[in-house]
Amino acid sequence: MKDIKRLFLEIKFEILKIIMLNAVLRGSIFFLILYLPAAFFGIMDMWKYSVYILVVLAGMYSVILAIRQYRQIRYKLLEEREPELQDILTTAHDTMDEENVMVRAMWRELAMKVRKIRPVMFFEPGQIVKWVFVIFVLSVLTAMSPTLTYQLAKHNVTTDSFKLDINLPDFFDGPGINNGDIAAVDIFQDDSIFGDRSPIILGDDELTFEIDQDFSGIDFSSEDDLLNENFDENDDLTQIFIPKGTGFDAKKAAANSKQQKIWIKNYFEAIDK
Amino acid sequence: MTETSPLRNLDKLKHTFDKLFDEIGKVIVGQKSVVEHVLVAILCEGNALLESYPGLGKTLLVSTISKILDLKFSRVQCTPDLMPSDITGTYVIEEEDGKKKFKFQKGPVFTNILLADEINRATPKTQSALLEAMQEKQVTMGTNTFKLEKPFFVLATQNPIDQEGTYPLPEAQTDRFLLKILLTYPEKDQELEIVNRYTGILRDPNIKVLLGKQSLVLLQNLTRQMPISNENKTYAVEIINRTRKNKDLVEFGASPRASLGLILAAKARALIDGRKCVTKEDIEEMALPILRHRIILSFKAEREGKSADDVIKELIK
Repeated sequence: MKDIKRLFLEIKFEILKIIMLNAVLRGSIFFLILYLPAAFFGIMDMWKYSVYILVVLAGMYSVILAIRQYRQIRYKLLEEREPELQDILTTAHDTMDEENVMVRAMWRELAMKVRKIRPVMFFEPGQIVKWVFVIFVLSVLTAMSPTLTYQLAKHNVTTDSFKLDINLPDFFDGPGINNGDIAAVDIFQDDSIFGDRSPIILGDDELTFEIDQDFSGIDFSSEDDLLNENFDENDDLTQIFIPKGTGFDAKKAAANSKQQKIWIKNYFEAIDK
Repeated sequence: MTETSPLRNLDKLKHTFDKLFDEIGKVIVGQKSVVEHVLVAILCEGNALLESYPGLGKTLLVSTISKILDLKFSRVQCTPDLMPSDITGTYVIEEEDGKKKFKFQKGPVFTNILLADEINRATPKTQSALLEAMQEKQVTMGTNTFKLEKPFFVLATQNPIDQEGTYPLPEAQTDRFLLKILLTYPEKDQELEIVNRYTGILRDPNIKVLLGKQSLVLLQNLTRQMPISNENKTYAVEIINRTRKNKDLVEFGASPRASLGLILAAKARALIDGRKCVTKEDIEEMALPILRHRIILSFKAEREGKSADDVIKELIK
């Protein structure tokens, strides 16, 4: 009987490992499920330690789950998983005091059967694969959460005509652009600018423009301050909207044009937001 | 020899019984459950009552089993004029050294397997001559008692049709039979196999002796040592109790001998299956042959056209 008890202890220990794996996987899912809506609604930015709170919650969930599952391990569970064991286990219990060849043979068989009950019985590969897949999907969603959550600006220059949407996440940043830098793209040099996507990235954030080809919808009257301002050739900002290789006079003229000034204004507004 | 060696041999029991079934299968086509039940009866040191229509191979089955088990086999054809002494034996006068004295001439009962063919054709007096042999494994003649050689097993057959001029076995006697085994007609393909096997050139099936007397006695001992849980024991007794309590279906239920028989038969079945303990399935499977000759159906059950097997199945539910 001692040998059998020892075998059962071994099995319990093996099952414990499976329980731990299950708890870790389910805890991870729990964490990601909490993290996603929190990130979506911007809760993660509200407190500095939000992520740690989620980790603690997920950890507690895992521990509770593991304890609950461990308590559920009974010989009855073994019997359910291995119906053949049911009769032999009950009989072994009832004939503990008997001593003959058949009883010894039964104990031997019981020991062999118990040894066969490896944790594989409790290990459900399908379930594990499912959880790993869920974790993968949630991780991808989490990685893409910045694009799903908020955009730096959605600035409409006009109400119709062509649309320039920049929806690339920060990990698509081009080389040489650091956080806080102003990246530029020569949209006037790009023939396919209208209707096609082109990255205009501001550090880690994104910028969305809607560009009216003929600027007919712009109310210039509200842009007085900006219109009165002059830029010179040393102003880097003008490089944003002026094609490379343009001569100084042309640059200056372009920078001081109404529509360019409005663009620049909008650009700053977007940065402020 | 280490202690585990005999235990390892026990693991081969299933293989031994499988080979036994294969050898019997060389002669008997199909009827696996019948063969199993006959083996159960032998392992339990019990007797079996075989009921079937003529020509289903009862005698062939018993003689084949006796050959495989290397046992002595006798056959008695029961008729109304068969006398008890024709079975048990009788005293004859013999002259020895000029002196005449009685000497016991052993009858066919002094064997290992006795086939009492059409036992219901023998008179009750002759039938009862078998009682002591079946139960006590001994024969008493006058003041002398002769022990029968172990193992001893009576297989009686009876014909369910053509009941005229027969003496149905009294309840007390049927109770002495551990099992009542029913033989049914073979399936079409099995019958075709029988025809193919026995209508062409007859070949010696070359039956091998698989077990000796000592091995059989050992197996009988192992059967009794087969562990059974209290739960299954209680279940067996509960089934027997139901035959006494359910007056709607059963007029007279089974005796405690049926409880003993059921548990023992379940143990034997487990041994044949190569298991190391008795299961509920063993008990349910053996309940039919153990009980079908031990219960008397109620008028209601008879009127509804239920057979003993139908009633037992209802009681097990």
